[in-house]
Amino acid sequence: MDVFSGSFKHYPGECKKVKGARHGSEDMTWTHDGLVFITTGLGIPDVEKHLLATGTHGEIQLFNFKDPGAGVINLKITHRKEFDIVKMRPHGITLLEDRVKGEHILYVINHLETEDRELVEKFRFSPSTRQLTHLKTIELDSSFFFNNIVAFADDQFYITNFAYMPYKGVLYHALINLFPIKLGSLHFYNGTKSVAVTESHATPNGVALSPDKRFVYMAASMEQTLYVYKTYKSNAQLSLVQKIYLGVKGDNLNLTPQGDALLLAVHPVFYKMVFHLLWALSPECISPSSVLRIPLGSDGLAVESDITELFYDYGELISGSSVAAAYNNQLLIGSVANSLVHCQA
Amino acid sequence: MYLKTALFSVTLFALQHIVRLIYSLGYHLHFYQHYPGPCRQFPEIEFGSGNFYTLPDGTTFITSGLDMNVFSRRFQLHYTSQGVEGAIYVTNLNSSEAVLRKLDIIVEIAAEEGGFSLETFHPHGISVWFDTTEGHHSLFVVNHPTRADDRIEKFLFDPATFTLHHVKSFTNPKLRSLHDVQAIGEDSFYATNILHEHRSRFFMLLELFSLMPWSSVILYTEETGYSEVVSGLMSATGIAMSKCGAFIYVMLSLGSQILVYSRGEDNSLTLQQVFPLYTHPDSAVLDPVTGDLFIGAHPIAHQYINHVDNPAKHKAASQVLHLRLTEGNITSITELLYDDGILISGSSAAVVYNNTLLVGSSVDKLVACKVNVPI
Repeated sequence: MDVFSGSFKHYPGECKKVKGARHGSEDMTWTHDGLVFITTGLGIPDVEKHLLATGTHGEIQLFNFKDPGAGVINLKITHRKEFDIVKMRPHGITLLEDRVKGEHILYVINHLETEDRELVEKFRFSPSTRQLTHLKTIELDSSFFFNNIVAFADDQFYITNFAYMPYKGVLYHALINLFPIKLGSLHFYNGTKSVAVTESHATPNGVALSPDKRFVYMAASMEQTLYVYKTYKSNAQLSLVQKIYLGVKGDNLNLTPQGDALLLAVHPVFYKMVFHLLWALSPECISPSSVLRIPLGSDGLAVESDITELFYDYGELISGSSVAAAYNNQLLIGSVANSLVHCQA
Repeated sequence: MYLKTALFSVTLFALQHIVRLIYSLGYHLHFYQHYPGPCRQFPEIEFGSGNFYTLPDGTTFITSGLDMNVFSRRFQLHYTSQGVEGAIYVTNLNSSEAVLRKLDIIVEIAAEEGGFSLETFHPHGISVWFDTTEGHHSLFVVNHPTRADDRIEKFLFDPATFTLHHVKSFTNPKLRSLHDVQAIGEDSFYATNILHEHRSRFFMLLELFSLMPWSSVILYTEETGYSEVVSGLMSATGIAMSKCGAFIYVMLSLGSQILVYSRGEDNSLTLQQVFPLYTHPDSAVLDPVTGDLFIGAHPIAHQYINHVDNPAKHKAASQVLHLRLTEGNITSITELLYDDGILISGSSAAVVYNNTLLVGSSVDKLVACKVNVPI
């Protein structure tokens, strides 16, 4: 619970909150030309109340590293009637990058808590209109709670099964976060169904894929560990090649554009994060934020001795950092229900 | 029945003391490294750059070659076998490539009984007083002479020849296990006693691990002599004064606090702020330009204790903190550097001048980093 933990704040450069971010920025996915797609509006208690009260819903936002001053914009989604956008509560996001035309394919985890369904929505981004078109909904087993996702190929992705959750209540969530019971695992969706491809873990959270698709990196929050797996052509089972004990509870993982390091957002003082998740909009319930840079060697493995802490904040600038992305000496840090911060090194 | 109660109480008391000690030693702590920019080590310094004082033009005096009579035998052997000498270096942080120069020390009075001797010179804390009437810089340095009591040495700095002329030694029974000194006049200063015991290593360790608050701050002026202005502290280490002389900052290392005192007309100290630090500060160096404080700290106590006992074998994590002050009070704190002990072990002092961070250590290297982050 990190009751005795805590560090001093430090920033890698000039850090400021980004305009236009309202209901958090739980996960991000990036393109090589500086675009970042961000999910906002994850339905944690206080935020859910606020979304229903204001008649708003979860969104997918766009940020451009090449124009950081413009802030984030909500992307308009064109969809068929069956897609209930009002109930959208997005969580993890990933994309298949289209380097030629810029028509990236996005996969977003969507929790339809009111109907007790776990979905992955597929969208296509149109760079000319800056809009998303909803292509299809992939239904997953709702007795699990899915957290993060990374695309492998068309309609194939790795997805972290946070825990076996037949009952998705606040109490159950709290129990999972208190006792590190191994109720989760990493799943692979092959186009028709999703199967577990690793052994059980306690709260697998962030997941990332190496550029050559040979390695899968996974952060297990309550285990405070980073796992590195090797993929095989069949993607049936992954083999564990490295395990690093981090000592902090990691959230989402992103690679740097050059592919030379992992950026892991962490919750350094976890008991504060628990309070923050319960009462996210209370100014007293803030939680320190931190971003770690884990360098990767040419062999795809993490270089444990060179892990650096890029950012640490007491929670005043940003509370509960959940994800970070880097581009060209800039760092973008997202949180579960708080601000979005841009740092210029 | 009473015997059982008494025994149980004593056991409980001893147990909670041990738990407190183990916790304060920091075996459970782990932090990640980060630097404000690219860093380099100075090849000239191998054995300590424990304390600094920086003048408004960037001239920085650095003490090196620390040894205390209460250090372990293993340390003393290492010290003599490596041929380490106590010395004072000077550098100018204004130039882009700071160059280190060792100052020649000229002794006016020969090393007779109780006099100053270069062979037994082991400098620690340092403070500089600029006399506006005479136009010269006086350096006050804490000295732990071998097999003698701790004292304060006064030198006059000759910038033309880069020499220090030793002019006076300050000795008194009130100066116990000294750590740092803060000059407040041509011949007056505050000094910190980190511990009460200053001769026997066994009693020093006992005092340290019993967590007894016997540390103090001593004031010396020509008119009032030596007096104890603050007592009952828990291992006071560094002492610094604000730019205008109105506030005195005392670092408590084992006590993990910074005490802010406002200075009276008669040099008495009134407690103004108690700032909990959650790390173990060594010394504080005043930024002569902004008035901010930079602190060299030991984040993981057990590492530092082992490092000072056996520097060749044990590394100690280093940490630099930047404190901003408002009307004397500490209002913000940022960590400028954290190192696992590989770049520099046991950081004890730091200062930022002209976008260069200088970090010194008790018995290890001297490091300079470019500061690329906002200060």
